[in-house]
Amino acid sequence: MNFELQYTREQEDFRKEVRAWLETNSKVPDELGPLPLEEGEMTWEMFQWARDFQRKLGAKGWLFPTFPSEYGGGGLSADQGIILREELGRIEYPEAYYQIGNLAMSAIYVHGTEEQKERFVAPIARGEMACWQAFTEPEGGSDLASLQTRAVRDGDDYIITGQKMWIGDQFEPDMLWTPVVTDPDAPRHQNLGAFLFPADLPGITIHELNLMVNRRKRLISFDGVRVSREYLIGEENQGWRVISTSLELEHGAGGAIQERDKLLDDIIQYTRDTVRNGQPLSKDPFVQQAMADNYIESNIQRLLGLRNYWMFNNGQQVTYHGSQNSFLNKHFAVTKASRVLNVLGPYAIVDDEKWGALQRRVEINQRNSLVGLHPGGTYDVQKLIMARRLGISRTQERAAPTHASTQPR
Amino acid sequence: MDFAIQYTTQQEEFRKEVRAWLEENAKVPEELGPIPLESGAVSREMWEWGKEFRRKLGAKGWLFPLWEEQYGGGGLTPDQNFIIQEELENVDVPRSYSNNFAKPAPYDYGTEEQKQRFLRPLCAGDVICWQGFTEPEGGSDLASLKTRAVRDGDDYIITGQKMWIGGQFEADFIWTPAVTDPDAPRHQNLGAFMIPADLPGITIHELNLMVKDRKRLVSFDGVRVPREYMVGDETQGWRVISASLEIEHGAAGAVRERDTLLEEIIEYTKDTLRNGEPLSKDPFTQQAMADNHIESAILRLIGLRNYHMFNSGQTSTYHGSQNSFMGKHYSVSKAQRVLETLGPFALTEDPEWAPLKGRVEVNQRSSLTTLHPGGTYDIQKLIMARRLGISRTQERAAPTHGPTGGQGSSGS
Repeated sequence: MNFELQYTREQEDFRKEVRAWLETNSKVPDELGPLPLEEGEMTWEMFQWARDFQRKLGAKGWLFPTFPSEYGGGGLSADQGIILREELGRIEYPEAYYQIGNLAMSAIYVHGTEEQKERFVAPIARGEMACWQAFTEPEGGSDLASLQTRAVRDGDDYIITGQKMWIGDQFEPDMLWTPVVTDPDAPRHQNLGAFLFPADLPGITIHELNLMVNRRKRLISFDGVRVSREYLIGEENQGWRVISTSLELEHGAGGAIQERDKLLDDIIQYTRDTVRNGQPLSKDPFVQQAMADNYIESNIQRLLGLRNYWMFNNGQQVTYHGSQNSFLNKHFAVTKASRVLNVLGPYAIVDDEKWGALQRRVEINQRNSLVGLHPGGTYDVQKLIMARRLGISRTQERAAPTHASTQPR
Repeated sequence: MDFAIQYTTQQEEFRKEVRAWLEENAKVPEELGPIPLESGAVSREMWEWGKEFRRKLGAKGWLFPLWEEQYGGGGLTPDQNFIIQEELENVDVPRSYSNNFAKPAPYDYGTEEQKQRFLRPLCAGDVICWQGFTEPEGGSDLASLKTRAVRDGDDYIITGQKMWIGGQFEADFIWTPAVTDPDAPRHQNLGAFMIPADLPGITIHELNLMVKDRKRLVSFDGVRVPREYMVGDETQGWRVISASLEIEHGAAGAVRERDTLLEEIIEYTKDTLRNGEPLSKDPFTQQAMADNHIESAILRLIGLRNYHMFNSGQTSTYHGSQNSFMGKHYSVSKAQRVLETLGPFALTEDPEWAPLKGRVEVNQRSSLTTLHPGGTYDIQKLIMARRLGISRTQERAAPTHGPTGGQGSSGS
C-alpha cells in the first residue's frame, strides 16, 4: 500500500502553471532584507509586500482555491488545491498572518445575508480585507461560551463593551470578528450575537502583550463601541452557531496539506553534521530513537491533515476529526520539541547566531511549542469535543456546518 | 509519623541571632532598585553589592557554615547550618555567584598552600569561580573533553574551549579539567586546573539562552598556566573533578523550607476568576496543583535526606543523582501543569496581566534550561545504574570533603 499522492497529466500541467507564476511573483525584493524568523521581526515594508502578494494570489483565486469562485475563491478542485499548497510550500515568502481571522469568511458564507456575502466574503477571499478573530476574554479561559462582552441594542445599533485577549498579530487588521452577549437572560449558547465590524471604530483600544514568542498578541478593549446592525452576522441570538463554523475550521476540520516537516528534516541533517565526542550525533542510538519518534509523529500529523482535507472537500461528514487534528498538533508540538531539547542540549535554547542550532530556528521552535498549546482551545477542550462527538459525553453535539458541507453536490 | 523538623531551644536562639543579623545586613539599598527576576538582568552595582554581602556572610563564617574555620568556613554544625539556610531563604538578595562546586577538590587533593590560596578566599566570598567543564563538542560525556594542557617547563600551555559556563560579569578563577596526556586511557588523561580568569589568551563570549543567565563560551588560546594552579597530580584530574561533580549532582543534599513559587501559584488560583469562579474550584486545577505539591514535597525530602546522610557520614551511592534527576524531571512536569492550568497568562511578561509579576513566565523558561547543567537526566540515570550495580560499568561515589572523607564535619 502506498500513501503517496498520484497526479494526472492535467494536474502536472496545472503544477507547471502555478510554478511559473510563483517564480515571477513570489520573489521578495532584496532591499526588504531577509525573511523574518518570528512574526515580531517583520518590518512594516515586508508586511506590505506580504499583503500585496496575498492580494495577487487572491486575484487569481489561489488564496482560497477551493472556495466558491462567485465569492472570491478559486472554485478549483481539491486536487488543484493540493498542488497549489505544495508549490507554495516549496518557496519562501513572508506570510501576512491572518489565516485564523479569515475563518470569519466561511461563517459569513454559511450564515450571512446575500449583501453581507458580497460585502465581506469576497474581499476576504481575495486577500483585500484582513480580520482578527477576537473570541477569548481575560476571565474566560477555554470555556468560550462563558464570554461576558455585552452588546446592548440601541435603535439600529449595538453598543459593545468588554475585553478580548490573546488576539491578533503584528500589524492592525481591517475588521474584528467577535461574539458578544446580546441577551444576558437567555440560556448559554443562545445568548450571543456574532459581529464583524471595522477595527477603527471609536471606543476600541488595543494593548500589546509580550508573549514568550516574539509575536504581538493583543488585549482589545471595547468601551461603548457603537456598531451598526448591518455588521451582525446571523440572528441576534444565533451567534454561537455562527462562530461555531469558524471554530470547526480552526480546529482543523478543513484539513491541511503539509508536504514535509522542513524543520525536522533540517534537524535530522544537523544531527548528521554535528560531531559530539568524535562522532556524528546521529550515530547515537538515543538520537536515532528520538528522531524516529519525531518522524513518526510528523507523518501522523501530515496524514491526519490530508485525511481531513480529503473528507472536507469530498463533502463527507466529519465528527471528531477536526479536534483530533488540533489535539495531536498541540501534543506532538510539545513532545517533538522536548525530544529535540534532549538531543541537542543547550544548543536548542540559545539564540546565538553562530551556536544556536539552525541559526535560531530550533530555539524559536522550543518557545513556539509552548505558545501553541492554547490558541483555538487547549487540548482538554479538543478532547471534550471529541468525546461529545463520539457520543461518550454527557452532552452530545454534531460538527458545525461550513462552506464545504453546505455546497450543493 | 511526622516529617516536620523539630528545633531545640538553642537552635531557636541561634535563629534569632541569624535573623537579627540579616535584618541589619540583607537590605539591598533602595537606590539599586528592585532585584530582577532573572540573574542576567542584575546591574553591576547590584552585583557588587551582592558580592559585598557575601563577604560579610563569609566574615561571620555563614557563607559556608560547615567548612572548617582554618579554611574560611564557619566550623558550625549541620543543625546550625540548617537554620542559616532557612533564614537566608527568607531574605531577598541577589543570588547566583556560582562557586559552590570547586571547593571540595582543593580540600581533598590540594596542597596546604593551595588550600590557603583557593579554598580560603572561596569560603570567605572573596573570589568568584566558574566551573569550566563542558565543551562545545563534548555534550554530556564530560570525560571525552578535548582541551589540551601541554607541559612547558614548570608551566602548562592550555588550548581549547569551554561552553555553557559561568554567570554574572567576571570570575576570578575558572575551574577546568584539561587533557594532559592524550595517549593515556580515558579518565587517566586529565589534569584539573584552577586558572586565573585574567590570564593572557582567555577570551569570553556571551551566549543568550532562553533565560537571561549570561552563560559563556570561554576560549583558551595558548594560555600559560603555572604548575602551582594544578590541583592533584597531572593525570589525576578525573578523580579530582569527580569531587565537584558529586556535590553538583546533589550528594550533599539541600535545605529547602518551602516552594514559595508553588505556594504563590496556588494562591493565585484562589484569587483568579475564570468563568465566574476561582480557578482553584476547577477539578483539573486541583489535581494539577496537588501533583505539583506532591512533587515539591518529594524534592524537599530527598534534599533533606541527602543532607542528613552527607553530614552524618553515611555512604551515599545513587542518592546524589537521584536528587538531580528528580529535580530536572519535576521542574519540567510542574511547569507544564502550571502552563495547562493558567493558560497563556503563564507565558506573558506583561506587567499588568502576567501572574506573580512575571515570575511564572520566567519559570516556564528556566524549567527548560535546568535540563542540562550538571549532566542531563540520562546521565543521572546512568550514574544511578552504575552505583546500583546494574550497569556494565560499576562505580562508587567520589570521595568528597564531607565526613566520609575522614575530615570531621564540613559541607557544601
